[in-house]
Amino acid sequence: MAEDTVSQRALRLGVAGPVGTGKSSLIATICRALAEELRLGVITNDIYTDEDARFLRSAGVLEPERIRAVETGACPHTAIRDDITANLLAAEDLERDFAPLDVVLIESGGDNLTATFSPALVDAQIFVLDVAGGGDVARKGGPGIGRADLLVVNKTDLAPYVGVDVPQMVADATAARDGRPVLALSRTDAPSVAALRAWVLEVLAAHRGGTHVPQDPGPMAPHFHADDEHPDGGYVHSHADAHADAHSHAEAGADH
Amino acid sequence: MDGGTLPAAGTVALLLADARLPSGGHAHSSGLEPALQGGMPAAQAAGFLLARARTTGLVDAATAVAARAAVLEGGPLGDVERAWAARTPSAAMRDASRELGRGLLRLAKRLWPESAALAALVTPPRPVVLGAIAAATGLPAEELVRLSVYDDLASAVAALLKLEPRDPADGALLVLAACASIEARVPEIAAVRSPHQIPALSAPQAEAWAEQHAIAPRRLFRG
Ligand SMILES: Nc1nc2c(ncn2[C@@H]2O[C@H](COP(=O)(O)OP(=O)(O)OP(=O)(O)O)[C@@H](O)[C@H]2O)c(=O)[nH]1
Ligand SMILES: [Mg+2]
Repeated sequence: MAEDTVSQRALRLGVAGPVGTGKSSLIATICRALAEELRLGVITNDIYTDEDARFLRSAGVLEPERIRAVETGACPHTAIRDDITANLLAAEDLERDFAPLDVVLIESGGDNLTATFSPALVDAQIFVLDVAGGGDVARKGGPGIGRADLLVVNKTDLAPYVGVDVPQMVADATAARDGRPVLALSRTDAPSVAALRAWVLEVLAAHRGGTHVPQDPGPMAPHFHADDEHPDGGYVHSHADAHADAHSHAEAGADH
Repeated sequence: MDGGTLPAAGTVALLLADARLPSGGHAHSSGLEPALQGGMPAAQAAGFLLARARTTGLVDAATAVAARAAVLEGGPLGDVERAWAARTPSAAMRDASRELGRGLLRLAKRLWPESAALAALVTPPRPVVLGAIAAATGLPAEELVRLSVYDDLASAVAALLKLEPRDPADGALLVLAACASIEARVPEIAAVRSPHQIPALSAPQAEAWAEQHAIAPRRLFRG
């Protein structure tokens, strides 16, 4: 089916990251920077309300009808990863109602460091940290930090107030990401917003050109264990299995 | 389904009853959150489930059976859907069921692409999709009744454990007890053949709660 091929439908771009790091604001920033030249749609995943959708509608960056809220039954990470049905339906609805769209931005419900989007839902994803969460968060790693298509270190304007060394935080993040891009962003810093805009356009071009392949950041970033006996001097190891266990506990439990 | 061997109907029933089924069900509470928000004490959850089972539960189950029969015997599914809507007076409940149906249909079309009945559905409620799946997979009517009721009640209890945490084992007891409460009616519901035989079993208090919940500013679940 031609309309299902990746390069013909809108680029679906996920925005994940812990609570309050600035995901909605970043989406508003992208809309402000690109609404003139691209046809955009937004989906928010809220936990209790449609607060994020309302925030974005009131920001006036996009027609209100282009911003849809998905409710997640208290499981924001399930809705972007294990059971993406509601988000897929919302994306398909938006793409149909406003055809043709260039980019659909999907905000995850603010969750923890481990929540990332399934590559079956988004083509690319941004993981958002903020300087106020502490300079060492980037070093702690995790799938989003390690392997999202772009890691944003947000609210750099606050760095002096929270005693965070932004270049150091970016260097730590870059080291944790094997060279994948890291962007120090503040909505009040125009060059950083321009860099964000350029990144989105670059991914869109790759998506359209068929050269972009959706990646799964995975449940947990693989890491290297030094081992002198090992022929390669060590081995790369992931905690996927351990995590699967942890997750099934969470599924059975009450509060995830 | 390709690959040569078809899964047993019983396996299909297990799949459909599994909370991990990726069809969007995790955002629904089968009326449980509406009830709690409407003021029902959590201690009355057992009574809520019994009432849900013998009202909405049986209407949906009979609808699923009628849909199965319609597909197998070439009758129109539109009549089944209208009969269901007439017996589901709350618009909020109908919306919730259509949303569940849509998610389930999306998955079912992937799993059973050869089913013309599934392919023809547009915005069906959950029980109509279940009935069409049952027809496509050889699931017997009695199993379909139990599946429809179980899935609905298990969603309510999963939500209960999130909203009013308690020993999850108590939740399992609640599901089994409420399912057992309608067991004697399974043969009668499974014998439904045409839409007019779907019983009209309304639950006015739960319907009022559903309507209130649909416009509530804060909620975790869709319905
Ligand atoms: N100083 C500063 N504050 C920012 C920036 N971006 C966002 N904020 C503020 O950070 C707070 C949280 O921003 P949101 O965009 O709502 O964050 P979010 O990640 O969407 O939050 P949740 O959806 O609740 O997880 C708000 O008070 C924003 O105004 C920034 O670049 N600089
Ligand atoms: Mg937000």
